[in-house]
Amino acid sequence: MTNLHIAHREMKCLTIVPAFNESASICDVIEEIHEHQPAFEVVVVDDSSHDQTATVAGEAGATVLPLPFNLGIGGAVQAGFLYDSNQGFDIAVQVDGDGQHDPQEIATLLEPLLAGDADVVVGSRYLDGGSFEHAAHRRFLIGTFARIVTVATRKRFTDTSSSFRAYNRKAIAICAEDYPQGFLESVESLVVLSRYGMRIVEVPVTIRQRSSGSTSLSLGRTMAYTIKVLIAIAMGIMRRAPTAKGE
Amino acid sequence: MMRITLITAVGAIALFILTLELTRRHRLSEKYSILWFATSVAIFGVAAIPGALDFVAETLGIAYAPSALLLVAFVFVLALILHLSMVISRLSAQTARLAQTVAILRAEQVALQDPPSPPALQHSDD
Repeated sequence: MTNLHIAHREMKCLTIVPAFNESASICDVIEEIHEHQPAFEVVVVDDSSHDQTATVAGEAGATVLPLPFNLGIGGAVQAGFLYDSNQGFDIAVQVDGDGQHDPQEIATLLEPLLAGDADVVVGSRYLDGGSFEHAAHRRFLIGTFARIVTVATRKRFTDTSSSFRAYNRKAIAICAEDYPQGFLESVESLVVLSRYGMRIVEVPVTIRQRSSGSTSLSLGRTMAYTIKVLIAIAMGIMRRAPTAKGE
Repeated sequence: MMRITLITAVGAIALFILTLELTRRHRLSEKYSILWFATSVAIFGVAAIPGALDFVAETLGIAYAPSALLLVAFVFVLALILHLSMVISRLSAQTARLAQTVAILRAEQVALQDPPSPPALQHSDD
């Protein structure tokens, strides 16, 4: 652990925090990241918020990427990856702007990455040691996605929609070029990354209750997105396995 | 029959002129104008050449000639919409990449202007 700690001190590390109308929680998120991972640059991707998210994030010491209009979560996260890739970061950790991810657990995410056992690490709410309470239908949906991705990638996944993740340089480059747009992109991206031959590992994490904001999903949109994701996964399998640039 | 032929021919000419005008005013790109010029010419052909429609219907094995017209029109519209969906998909991807690049450039600009102080981002609504 101590060796790993030293190892990532020498690396260029960054957290990507996608945020849409998170002015109430973004400051705490940034401060907590600074507290637990002082060496990390914090990049907040402001997905054209209507509130003061960008200003608050800037004042809290984050680099703000202000999108000129709303792209949705996938496009926002990808802006972060593009920035990473341009600036040559070694490690990127994605943390939600609403405070549901505990920055203290970034260290847990980094372990398999620093040990060289993984290219992408996903914080799972459902592995032993992780926890989160969900409404029954959401839990069902999350479980269904996990089973589908497990079949599609031939790797076991318990939580494919978790956006608390860590990426190494190879995975960052892939995500900068090829990242799904729109909602539930986290599920699709696992299939994409897996097709590129990335080694994806899950580690247990605890998800906190959202400190602000609300989940913005009606039943109709959830169904539409579910179908979209299923098609995207099917297409991901049917496409010829891509190879990363510079391999 | 005479009257409908006349209406169709006038409609085709109107479409031709509209396409010409839209292209002239840069409201329609030259690339897409080809499609609409061809469409108006085809419609005009069906109206102006007697027996043209019957010939098409016979070739396709359709007993009732107007059905052939509907079929051809439907297939054309379907193909056009599919093509436009493809164009929109490409444009969305390009727009997203453009927005991401703009965001990164704005962040770099802020960093260049005042490196130590936090970035001051202009918000139009205050």
